[in-house]
Amino acid sequence: MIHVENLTKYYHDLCAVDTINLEIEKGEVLGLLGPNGAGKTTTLRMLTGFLRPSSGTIRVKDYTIEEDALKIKRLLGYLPESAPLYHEMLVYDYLVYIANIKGLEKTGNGKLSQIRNLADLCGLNEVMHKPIGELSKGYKQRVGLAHAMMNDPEILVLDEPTSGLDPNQIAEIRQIIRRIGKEKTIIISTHILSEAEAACDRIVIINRGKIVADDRTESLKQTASKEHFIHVSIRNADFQSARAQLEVIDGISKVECIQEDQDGMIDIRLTCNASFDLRGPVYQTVKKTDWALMELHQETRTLENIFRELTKEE
Amino acid sequence: MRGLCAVYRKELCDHFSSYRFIVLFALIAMVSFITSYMAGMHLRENLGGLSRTKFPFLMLFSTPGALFSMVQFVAFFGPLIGLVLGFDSINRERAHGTLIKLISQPIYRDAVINGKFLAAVATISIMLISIVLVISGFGLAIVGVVPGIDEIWRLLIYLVISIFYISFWLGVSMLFSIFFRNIATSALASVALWIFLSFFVSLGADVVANAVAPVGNQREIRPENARVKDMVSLCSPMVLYSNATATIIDPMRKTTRSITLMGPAEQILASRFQNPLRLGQSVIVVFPYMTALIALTLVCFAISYFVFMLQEIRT
Repeated sequence: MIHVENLTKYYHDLCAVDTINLEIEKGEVLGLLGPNGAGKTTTLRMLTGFLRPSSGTIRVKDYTIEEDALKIKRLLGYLPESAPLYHEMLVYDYLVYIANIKGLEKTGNGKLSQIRNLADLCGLNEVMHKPIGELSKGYKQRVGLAHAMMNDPEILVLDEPTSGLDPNQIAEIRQIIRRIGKEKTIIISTHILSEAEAACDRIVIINRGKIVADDRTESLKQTASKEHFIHVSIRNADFQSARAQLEVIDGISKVECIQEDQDGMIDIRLTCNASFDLRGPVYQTVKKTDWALMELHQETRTLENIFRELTKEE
Repeated sequence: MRGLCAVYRKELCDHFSSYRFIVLFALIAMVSFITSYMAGMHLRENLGGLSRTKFPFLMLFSTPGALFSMVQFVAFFGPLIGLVLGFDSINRERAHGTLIKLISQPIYRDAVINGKFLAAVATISIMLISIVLVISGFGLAIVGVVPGIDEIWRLLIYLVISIFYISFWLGVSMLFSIFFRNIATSALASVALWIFLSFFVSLGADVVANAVAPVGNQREIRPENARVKDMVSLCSPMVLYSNATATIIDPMRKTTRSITLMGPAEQILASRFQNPLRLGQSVIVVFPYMTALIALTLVCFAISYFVFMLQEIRT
């Protein structure tokens, strides 16, 4: 459905998006994750034909962004970050304006019936004749969603659709997205991991303009659950001898020193890839020595850990 | 075309429902009424006994009431309408983030700027035409003389020139709204340019003329000095507009120049033939100024268009 090849965008000397390659299938819900300034919004704006790439190609169906930007825009519905709207307009007038811009016919299954359908889908019926400026953030976001879906697009591009909303509003918007996601290809940009985990079939993590992870949500979760960490804090030991003792335990793949205090306290992180709990063997090993065990706990690896590892500042 | 029509309709609706437009329109309509009323009363008193007064109807627009005529008022303050309609047309959308949304729609980018410009020009046209029509009706009641075909044509040409004149300032303010991200900056820059070109250029023209062709004493008239002064003054759109409307709205005026050199025979001829200029002749006299004004308006809009089309909009 969407084919992105070597997509690059420079803002003067700053490389915002660096040689991105993506293939998005029809009906897929893709989550674009990354910290602020990672290049998510720039990527989405290039996909929607709003920003011109410095190099690389974007192909949607049989159209390329250089030659058929208008045709691609007709296939897309775009909800920009924080849903910018004309606050002085009534919701109904605004939707009519968007329907006119998108060229919906006045009669039959055209403009009015589409506005009615979207009002039902997005729950806008009770605010149709209110000025947009008087609506809550959640309702404004719904108006933005209705705008994005006005021409019944095959692809929906949503840039941080739940940003700034309260938990109830987030749940409402996610519900609408889930409803839409059954029929359309959706690309959601977010930095909320739970949102991506809940709504997306596939997750792409971007950091500093580059793709650092691209996998199905389920397989990313499995990768995460395969590994876990054990944190051990001991006294009266040096790291080299502790490592020698601990790395021989079956199932431990890596021993790292997190912190070494001047009073002889060492914080160690053990990376375990075993399917069973290794806290017992670790305790037994420490018991055989004259070290003082100050702390021992296990930390299960989550998507959040993966995200933080992949996107941490060096 | 679809996008252009949608943007045009929305902008037109926004203009007519905005408070700043209503306030400005009310102010200009009120001043025009007062000026025309005073001019009308003045005409009724002075032309009462005359049998064949020439173009009394046009005098409603060209005769100063208390301080200035309606034509002078439009020349001075008409640009404010253009500036008010355009100074935040692009940067307000950019500041609110709606420009991104608009441009990501399946419409050509130029539909945005074309729609905005055309809607503002339509607003200016409706505003001027309605003021002139109402004043005409008002004048009919006061003066009691029906305008002839020639006068109606002159009024139409005057309206077209005025629309282009105000549209020039609209183009200037739109250009600033594209250049400057801050709305206050674009408003200030537009007003500063209006003050400079409308009021300071004539002062500068005096200085340049006196430097190029100094005049010995106050009574002395040097054609060279007047020529340089006229030339420099043409940098001001207000002077261009005044010259462009000069013989159109006042057919008794036969030239736009401040000094006309005549030989003795020409002076005798001029004193014998006091008839007004015919419409065609009036148009020929003001044609260079009209075309210059129209060209300025189009060039100003063209610059705005290209800057907008080439600009990378990130926010």
